[in-house]
Amino acid sequence: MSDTSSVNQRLLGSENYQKLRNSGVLLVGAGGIGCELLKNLVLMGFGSIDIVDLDTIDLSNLNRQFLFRHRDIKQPKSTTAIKAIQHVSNSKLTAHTANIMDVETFPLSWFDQFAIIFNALDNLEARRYVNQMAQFLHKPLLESGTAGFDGYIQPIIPGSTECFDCTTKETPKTFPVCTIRSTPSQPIHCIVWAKNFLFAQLFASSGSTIGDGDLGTDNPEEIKRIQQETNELLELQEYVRAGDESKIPEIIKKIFVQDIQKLLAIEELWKTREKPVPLPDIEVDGIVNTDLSSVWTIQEQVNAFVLSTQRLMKRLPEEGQIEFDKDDQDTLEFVTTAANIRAHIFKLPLKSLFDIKQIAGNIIPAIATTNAIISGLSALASLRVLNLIKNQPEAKAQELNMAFTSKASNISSNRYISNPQLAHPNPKCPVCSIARGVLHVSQEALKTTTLSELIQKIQEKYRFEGEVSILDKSTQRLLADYDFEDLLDKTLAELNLKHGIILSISDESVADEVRCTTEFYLDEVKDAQLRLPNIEVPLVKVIPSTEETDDAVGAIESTASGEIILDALEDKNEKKRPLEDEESSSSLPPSKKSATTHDEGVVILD
Amino acid sequence: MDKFDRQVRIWGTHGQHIIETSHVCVVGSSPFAFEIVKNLALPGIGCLTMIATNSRDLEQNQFWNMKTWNVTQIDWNAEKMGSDVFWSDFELIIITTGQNDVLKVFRQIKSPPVLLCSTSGQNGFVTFLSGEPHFVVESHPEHTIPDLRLGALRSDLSQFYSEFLKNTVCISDLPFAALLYHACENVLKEKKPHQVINRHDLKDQINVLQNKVSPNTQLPNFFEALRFAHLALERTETLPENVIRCLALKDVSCQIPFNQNVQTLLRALSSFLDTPYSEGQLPLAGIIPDMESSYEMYTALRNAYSGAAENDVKIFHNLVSSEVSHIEIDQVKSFCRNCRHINVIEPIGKLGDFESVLNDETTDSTIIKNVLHSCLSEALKKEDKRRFYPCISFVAGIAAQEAIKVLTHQFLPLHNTLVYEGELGRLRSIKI
Repeated sequence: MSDTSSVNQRLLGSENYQKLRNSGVLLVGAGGIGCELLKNLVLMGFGSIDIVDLDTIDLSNLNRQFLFRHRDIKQPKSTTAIKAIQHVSNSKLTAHTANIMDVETFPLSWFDQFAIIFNALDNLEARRYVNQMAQFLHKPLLESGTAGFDGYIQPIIPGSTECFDCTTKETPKTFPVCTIRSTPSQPIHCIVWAKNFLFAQLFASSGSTIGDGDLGTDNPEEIKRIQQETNELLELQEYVRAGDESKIPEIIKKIFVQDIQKLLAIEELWKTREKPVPLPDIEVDGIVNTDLSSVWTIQEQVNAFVLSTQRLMKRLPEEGQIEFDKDDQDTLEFVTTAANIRAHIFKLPLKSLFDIKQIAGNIIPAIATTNAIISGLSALASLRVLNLIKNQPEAKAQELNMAFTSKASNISSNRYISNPQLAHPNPKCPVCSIARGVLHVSQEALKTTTLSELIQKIQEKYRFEGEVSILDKSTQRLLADYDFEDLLDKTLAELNLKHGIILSISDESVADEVRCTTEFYLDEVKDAQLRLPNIEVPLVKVIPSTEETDDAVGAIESTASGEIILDALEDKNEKKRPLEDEESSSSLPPSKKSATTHDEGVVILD
Repeated sequence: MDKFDRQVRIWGTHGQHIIETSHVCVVGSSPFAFEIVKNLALPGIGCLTMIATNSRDLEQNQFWNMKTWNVTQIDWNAEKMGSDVFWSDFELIIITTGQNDVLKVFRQIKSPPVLLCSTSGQNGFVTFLSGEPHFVVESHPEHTIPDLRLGALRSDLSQFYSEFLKNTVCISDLPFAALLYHACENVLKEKKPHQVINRHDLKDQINVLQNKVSPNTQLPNFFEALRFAHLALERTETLPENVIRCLALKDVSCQIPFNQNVQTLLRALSSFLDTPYSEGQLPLAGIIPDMESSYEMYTALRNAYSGAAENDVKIFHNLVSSEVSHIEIDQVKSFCRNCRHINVIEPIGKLGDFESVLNDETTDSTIIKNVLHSCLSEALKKEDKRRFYPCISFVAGIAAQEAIKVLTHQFLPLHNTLVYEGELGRLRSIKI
């Protein structure tokens, strides 16, 4: 590879190339974009590359993650990727099979060693986390993602350009509990019911939290029914655990006949809605349809429901519990058929197993070519961010570009890629508009410092004039505010405040100007007792909380070309952008008379 | 099939089948050529051939173990490869080099469609050459307008609507399409013959109807009727511009089987439009959007449209069968469903035409020329310029992306040249 390095040297210039050789970079994610990007970074000649991924390789990765082969299935992605590329590498390569959000393995100080961070992630939660770390450390971050033919890159320069959270991101879709449990009006409601409620109750460990808390309905009869139903299901769980296959007809009768009859008895529900019809008696004849892309008849659904239940019951004693996995045919068939039988009962359209797999598994289409395009762009942008391009004046952060590939079908319209310049940080961004610093603390100090002492120190050092509130962001736990003082005398250790925790301090005084909200990352060290960072906590004008109107004007430009798209490294991650099913993504509202919907008591399709 | 699950969701099992049975040839052996081969092997191209034009390259690219991807590697042989016959087995040829002996051959022969592409330093380009038009049936438009034809209802549908309303006792549950029909009828009663309905009249009428059944609260189906009132005003009897362009090319000479099939279907479409039954309108898509309504009413409406569409397919299939026998009913169905969105592009016909444009002194021509010429020079320095990986990865990704679109005849491919100017981070799409 000496050949490649001489090329890079010539193209970048000796001095820049030397800088590149001396730089370490962090690549988060070894999936679709990660594999491509790792190759690009290696062939560019970065001094060292650390790659982090907690996932293992799956068959459906092999259509694009070119460093993996069939024999690598079930192996960790990060180590396998490095093994596959080592022989051409002139960089120090380190693999980490771990969660990037694990503060023990990856404390904030660990992130500090890198010149730049590349995000090649597939979920919002980790993207947000890395973004936050970059903000703490003022590290440049290259964010990227793809979905089908679409993709984007976004360089983030803390303090100068907008961060990942400056624009609102699409979050998982939620549904009121009552819609899922009593009054489904779209096929998706039946799929959520089958996956998150029925399957979870019968086979998974956790059971379901659906049914606790706010149900999203005020109808007392309905609430009572939902609670009863949860208890009755415990009985079914017993049948399933006992492995008695002769009870399967009873299970069918209970969930598809009796439960529906009980719902019908609540007349209030059906005044404005179509009434469901309990499943008629169906003789199970064991004939299954093997065409996974067709919509099966109700007879075939029931047959397949029985067979998949049998298979799951057989597996249960050995496995203890079974989690839904879109690539586990038994669980997928159970959820598909249960959802379709329920859809049939509620007179909603049925769907094929192939389609339900996409919805229940939050599958985002993914192809090799888009990943190649995006990782090429990401690598090119990093050279610009690090100012390593020969004969180019130092780029100001604002002169950098983000890039979106335009929809595949619009290609003939002169805009294969749109690359707007980066926007300024959004002054209302909850992540990058606040002050940040690292609070160094020894184990000793954690044990001896009380919460009130810490608050006092903070107030003095940063001149908070009035009351403050203090929040443990990692658990979203309020530790103290003006009328909550119970914990003030506890020590930090007693409050379980330790390494990696982020504390958020807000000025609660009633004034026109208050101290900016400040976040402290707790860094456990040996030498320091308790050392507050030397940071400026500016006074900010209190903005009356009104509807969002004029803010983020700069941001709109950059997101106009498309929603945030996440790289699909199909895996167990739970915060992916859920795909909308066809009905709901059309420009038209959902069907039939769906009465009142409620804002609260929601079920998240994870 | 599981390996390709994530991409089958984009182009369907029929698209995947085309990919897996395609023969693609990549001419060149630079890192750029290897990147393209990798990008095509991953989605599952059935048969890949790579022609090495510079043996030095092969030794240097051991990183890509072609054996694991079942790629046939052969050396350039001007004599053997100088005739049409050698190339006729490929569905697509991707030329990644500007070497004179290679280009000389392609100036002379009649070849399958070609993507000519290359990179040098931070610049690159991709261009699409083909001696015949490129038809796309499934163009996957981002937004589609519901195919309800309310602006010009065919007699079978207007008959349905009039009976549907005759049997309706209370209009408060009507789906918005039927409400729009009803409102149009009422507006027309008050108009003189040949007067057209305007949006204002129609919206007023919808409000009048709404006030009759529910004066105090806005019903969701009436809300939808107001929102989609424009659908009743659309003149559906004129053909979309994209369909007209396709019809104009139905008789030009084509060799690619997919194009030939589309031309057969277009000729049938032309006859279909001439039948009194069609009233000059395209076959119905047969799919209606979700509407606020009672279950029974919505189902009746949905069945009316899907039934009419099935009938169209039957008539259409008869027209096709009278000309050829090999087109299956499924193909006819897909064509009828997508025919509002069929499209065609006309790539650059000949390599010579492309090259002659390069003599213009535009920025884009200069970039393309320089990229092409960097492959010509034997000088090590210039040859090395072609090894700048981020740029290679990016342009090779685009080239392979376009190759997949060309092969599957889904999505519109580039029309017809992309130029990437890396120093400024600019990618332009130009038409030569």
